[in-house]
Amino acid sequence: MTTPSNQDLLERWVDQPAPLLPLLHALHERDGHLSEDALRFVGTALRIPIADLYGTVTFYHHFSREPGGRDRPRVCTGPVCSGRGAHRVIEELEAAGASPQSMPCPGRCDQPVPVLRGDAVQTGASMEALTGGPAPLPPPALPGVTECVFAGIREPDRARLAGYREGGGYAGLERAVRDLDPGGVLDLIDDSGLAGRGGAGFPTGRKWRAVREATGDPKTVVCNADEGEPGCFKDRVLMDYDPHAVLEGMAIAAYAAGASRGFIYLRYEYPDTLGVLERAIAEATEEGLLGDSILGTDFTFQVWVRRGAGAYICGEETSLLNSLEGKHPFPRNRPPFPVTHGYEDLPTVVNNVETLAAASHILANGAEWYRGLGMGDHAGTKLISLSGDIQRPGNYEVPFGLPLQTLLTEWAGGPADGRTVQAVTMAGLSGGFLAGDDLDVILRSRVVREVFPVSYRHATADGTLGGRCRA
Amino acid sequence: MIMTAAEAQTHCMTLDGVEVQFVEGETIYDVARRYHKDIPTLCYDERLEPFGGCRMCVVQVEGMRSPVASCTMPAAPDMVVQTQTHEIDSHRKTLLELLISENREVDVDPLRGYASQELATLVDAYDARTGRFEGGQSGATRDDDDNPFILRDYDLCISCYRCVRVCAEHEGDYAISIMNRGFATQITTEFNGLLKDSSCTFCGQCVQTCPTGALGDKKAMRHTDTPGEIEKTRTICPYCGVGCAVDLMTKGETIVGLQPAMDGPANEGALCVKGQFAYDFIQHPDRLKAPMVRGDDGELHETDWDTALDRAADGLKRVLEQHGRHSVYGVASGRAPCEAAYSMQKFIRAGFGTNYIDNCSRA
Ligand SMILES: Cc1cc2nc3c(=O)[nH]c(=O)nc-3n(C[C@H](O)[C@H](O)[C@H](O)COP(=O)(O)O)c2cc1C
Ligand code: SF4
Ligand code: SF4
Ligand code: FES
Ligand code: FES
Repeated sequence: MTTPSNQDLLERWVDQPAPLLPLLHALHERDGHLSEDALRFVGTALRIPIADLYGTVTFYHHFSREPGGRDRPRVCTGPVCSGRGAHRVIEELEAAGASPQSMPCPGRCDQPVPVLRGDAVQTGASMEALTGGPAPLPPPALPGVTECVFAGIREPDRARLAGYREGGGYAGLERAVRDLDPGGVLDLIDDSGLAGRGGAGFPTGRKWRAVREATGDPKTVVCNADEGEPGCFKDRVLMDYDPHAVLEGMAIAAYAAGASRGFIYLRYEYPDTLGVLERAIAEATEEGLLGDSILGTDFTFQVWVRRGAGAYICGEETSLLNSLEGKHPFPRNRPPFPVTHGYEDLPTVVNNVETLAAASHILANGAEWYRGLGMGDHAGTKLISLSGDIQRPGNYEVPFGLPLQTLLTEWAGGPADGRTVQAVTMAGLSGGFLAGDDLDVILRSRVVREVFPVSYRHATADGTLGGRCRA
Repeated sequence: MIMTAAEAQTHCMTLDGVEVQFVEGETIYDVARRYHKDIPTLCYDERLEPFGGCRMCVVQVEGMRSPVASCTMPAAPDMVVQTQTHEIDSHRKTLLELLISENREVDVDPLRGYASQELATLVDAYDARTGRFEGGQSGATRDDDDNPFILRDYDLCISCYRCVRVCAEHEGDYAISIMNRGFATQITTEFNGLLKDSSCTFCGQCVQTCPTGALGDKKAMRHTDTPGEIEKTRTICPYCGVGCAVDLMTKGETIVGLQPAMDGPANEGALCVKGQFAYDFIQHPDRLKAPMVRGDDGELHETDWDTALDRAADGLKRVLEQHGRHSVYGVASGRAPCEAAYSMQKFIRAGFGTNYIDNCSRA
């Protein structure tokens, strides 16, 4: 295959929505870095002032400006990996003549230490031990526990359309477009009590309704797959093993909110996930589950994946929107909120991967069913990424109402051998530490919102409590 | 009763305990300013879109958990706002303590630029020279940029981005932008080069809006050590027909610099490179102080005014007689005062009866 020219790559992307990031990625991949020539070409072609474009490109951690930079190894020096040999891996790579760079947590804390080179990711506690491989599946659910978003995830072939449909997939979307009108879907989501799983816990039904009621067209659904909080790796496993559940959730959201465009904003550090999502979108479009005339109705909804380039703040929804639009990814001032002024200043739903996947199951199984998954008075479930000094790190779907101690000891096997739990960080590092009696909390959405204002997404049991700050 | 459109959009809110009116579209800061509240700002320049970066302008809004930035928050009906509380004051003080912990120095010479004293003034007002924080420093000074006009002393930068925004929003030049993030954040040009290799027109707008003196007027700064108080005299830039208002800055008899008048009706603080920086001729040692006439040797010789004027009048009259009134064409100098330009056109129009009169700044 001949190397594509600047012009070839431009023609591939210029008429696509949100073209800047994919065009930059194409040039980055072709040249191994973003050269001055390439940036001048892009700036001129997309009419972006060169100084602005240069500033924006340098904002992202993973766009390299030096020849060969894209393939330089990047080693996680996040909070878990720092205690798990990250610095040894860096020294070994240096000794072997590579010039490694450190990177913030790339979402593989259950498999320390990840090393990213171009599009290849390996993990291991030393250079010798580095191996590739898929994300670990979540450990099997404990007897008597009913899961929602993880219910089908361990079925082989679940990532393919045929496998997903065999397990009952797309029944939720069918129900939505055939049996319910958009208002009916909104009522159902309201009834389920589903709230945002990306951190702020905003009621999902209210968000979708606000977009439906906002003026301005076309409307957009954005799936926030930037998963940047150190210690958090739950969205990756959902997308890798159950991508159609996420697409189905997006389509349901679009139907309810009156949207026709969809984006998945995927973090740079999940290169394998990109392929999985693109294949799933192609399959679903082929089968009339996405694209024009979905399921034979006049509902139209198209989805594109856009890959980020390494910036924690792009998980914040308004930074994400600026990034998609090719602008400097600073957060926007609110109000106005994305529900009225989102992508291209038009009404936009932004939801986390887990929120959207849950919506598919709720449509299929009902609001009552979902509420019943919680313990006692608590409604629904939550994915927790567990890592650090714990016997069985990994992703767990817990019912709200579960005591944290039960999760740590009964589900995850307790602290690593010879260790005791000294402290747990919740919600990634933005959530602070829990220690002593504070560990006796119940995982409930109110705790999530009140005690840990950013989110409850992650818990690290760390035997050696260090005073680390967030990078 | 028939209401005007403006009346129809008027709402009420409570500002420091008093009911006040506002018009839809105003921010809390806009309203507070109309009511003469003294809310501190750093990233705010009234000519630019509010950015909300520095958080100095925070106020307390009833029902909201954290303080909000008044410069970006739209006023809303029935809002209850406190612009000054103990909590807000200590919040602002902490922000200032954090900001200056990153800077090499706080006090800069006022000749650096129009807004250069904003940070130091607030630091004093909030008693924030406590040295409470220390640690990382962001911004690295570009000593290598030896352009004659603009000092790029980014050690003092607080990332308010007024420079970037004035360049884009007001000048339309997009010469500068923001590179990297976190402590590595830096104001840059395309590919982090020199200003002269960028699309910069050296209008100096970034210098004049910089609230810390991180950008400095190099020409004015030559007079940092010139003795005397700075005095400002309002005048109009003579270079072209726009009529930009400027403040000529003097120390004693010496012109030490020039700053745009932010309230100039024609320019609202804007200037071009000539208006901003091209005033050296006024005090230049080569400047002619006596008339000169060309002698038979073909060289210019100093003489007195009567001789020079007679000589000029003879020549002009001769041309007029021989070739008619349209054979004369006057070009007034943009470096002459406005009064001289006026006299010049009067002289050509009334004296010769021709409209062949122009000014060099039109060329
Ligand atoms: C600094 C910051 C980082 C964030 N990162 C993420 C993220 O990685 N993934 C995510 O889904 N939401 C993230 N959020 C929350 C989003 O702004 C937004 O609330 C969320 O995507 C909405 O989806 P939900 O309602 O389904 O939770 C972040 C917020 C902040 C302030
Ligand atoms: S001098 Fe004018 S053109 Fe140059 S960077 Fe400053 S504002 Fe932009
Ligand atoms: S150089 Fe001055 S105006 Fe520009 S961001 Fe820094 S402090 Fe603000
Ligand atoms: S992968 Fe290293 S800290 Fe998350
Ligand atoms: S002046 Fe309002 S945030 Fe800076």
